[in-house]
Amino acid sequence: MRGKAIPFRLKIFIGTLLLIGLAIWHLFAGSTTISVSDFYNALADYDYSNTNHIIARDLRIPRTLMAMIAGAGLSLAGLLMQTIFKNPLAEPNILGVSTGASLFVAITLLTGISFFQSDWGLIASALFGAFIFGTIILFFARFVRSQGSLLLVGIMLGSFSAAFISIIQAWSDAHQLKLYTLWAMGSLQQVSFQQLPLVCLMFSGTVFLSFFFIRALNALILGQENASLLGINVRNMRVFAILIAAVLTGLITAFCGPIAFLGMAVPNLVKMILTTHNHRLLIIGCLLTGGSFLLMCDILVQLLSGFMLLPINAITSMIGAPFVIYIILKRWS
Amino acid sequence: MIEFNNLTIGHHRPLAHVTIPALTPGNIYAIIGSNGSGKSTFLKTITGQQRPLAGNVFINGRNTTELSRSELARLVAFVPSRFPEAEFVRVVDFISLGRTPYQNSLGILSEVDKECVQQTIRQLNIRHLADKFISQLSDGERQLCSVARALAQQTPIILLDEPTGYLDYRNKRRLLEVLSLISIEMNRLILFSSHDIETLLQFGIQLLGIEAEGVSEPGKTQLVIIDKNIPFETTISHFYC
Repeated sequence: MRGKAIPFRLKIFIGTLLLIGLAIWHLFAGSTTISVSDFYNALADYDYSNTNHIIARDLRIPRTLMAMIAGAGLSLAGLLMQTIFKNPLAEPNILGVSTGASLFVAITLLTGISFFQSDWGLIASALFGAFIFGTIILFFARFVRSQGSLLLVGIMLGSFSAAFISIIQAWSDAHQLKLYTLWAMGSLQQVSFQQLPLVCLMFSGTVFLSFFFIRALNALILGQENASLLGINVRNMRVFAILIAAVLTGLITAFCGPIAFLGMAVPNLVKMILTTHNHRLLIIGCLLTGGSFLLMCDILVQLLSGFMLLPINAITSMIGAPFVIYIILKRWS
Repeated sequence: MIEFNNLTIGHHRPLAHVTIPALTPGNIYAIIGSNGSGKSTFLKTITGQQRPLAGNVFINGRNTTELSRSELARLVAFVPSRFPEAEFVRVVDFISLGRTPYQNSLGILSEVDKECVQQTIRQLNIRHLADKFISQLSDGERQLCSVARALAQQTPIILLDEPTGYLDYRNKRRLLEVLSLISIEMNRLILFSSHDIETLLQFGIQLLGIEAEGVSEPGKTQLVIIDKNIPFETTISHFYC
């Protein structure tokens, strides 16, 4: 056994502690003080008339879980896309997967066209949009050889969606516009306690599935040709990986709005910390770091809420964008 | 063992007719010919990346077009001419990727896999490189690591596309020594493309050649086995115009 194996475990252990610590801090962060017993009673013996119970069960717990799921899920989606497109700047937002989700959410919110007449209609729209745009980018990836060109195609898909959304906005009434604008600012508070089980199930299902691609993802580091020569069915594998990334992105975008840069910044940070290509460690690292990162951003929002109310995607972009510029400078200069 | 049955290689239009006897384990073969003559196409036809225009390739008696990707990965290891660019990949992990065809989808290395990787590192004497990142290697070290990865794949056949291309004289000789040793001691069939004819002849490597344009009638170009007794100058004029 080489001595290297232990530091990996130590890093993962520290990451786990960090996530748990931040999650606990996040649960208690906010303008109202909620005690441990409030949390316990809210779950064990819920009282509709007790404000603290309502805050604990219907606001704090969904918010904390959603922060972890959104951070972890977008980071995992980013990691998958970076590996299958062999591009460190690939992520759901840049490559148009989340703009696809946004476009279909906008259509649902602004025109009322939907798959179902319930909250799930919005989620179905987001999933559909993410998958359609994921398929489009996968289609272009077959023809586009250079790394930069694919990013440009993704950015064009984003512009196309934005243009389409502004056309629909021009036709919409004030109430619909407000709904859409609030959604687009991003929030971790949109998920209800009743929706949590299904959201958790979909999230853990996709994470579970992604573990079955570790061998293929590792081989894909050497490029498509080499992976194929090592017995990997690259085409099928890429379709499944995009499907996983689209489900994660669609689900998270439907509830939290478009969150940019997180999917790009976190996997790169994790690669720098773990210095490995082994996707078993990278996936775990992305889940832990992504969850911690969004918890940290939201704790910042809560701490600043006395002075101003900030949308969550503004914070992630303000931290994420400089980091991404750092990655670009480090690589291409 | 690789056998050819009326094989014509090419991409859309035929490049060469393969008229060589079966290639057998324990031997090392090098294929020469001018740029674009079809050396890489020949190698890729054996790996299954390129379909034959006509005829068949049989590996250990099985038609390559009927083998699945994972079955082929356990029969043929291929080292492309371009070394992969990847970050944060240590040499030991790079060599471990050769074990991919034997892993389940979770990608966990078994004790057998680990032992095989360590054995390969010992055989090629690259212990000192094991913990380096592949992005830090020199061209000579890269080729050794690529060979190590192919060895760890434990296939009876190893193909290499211009492995001596970027190497200086000393590294070329070292690589050819290693390849010769592998073919004899481990009874592997090694086939690679190269332009270093003089060095290949010094090592006594069996040459295959694709005839140069104008040597035979258009459309009848052949991939042939080159007689070791033919003088160097004749070889050059026959295979490089």
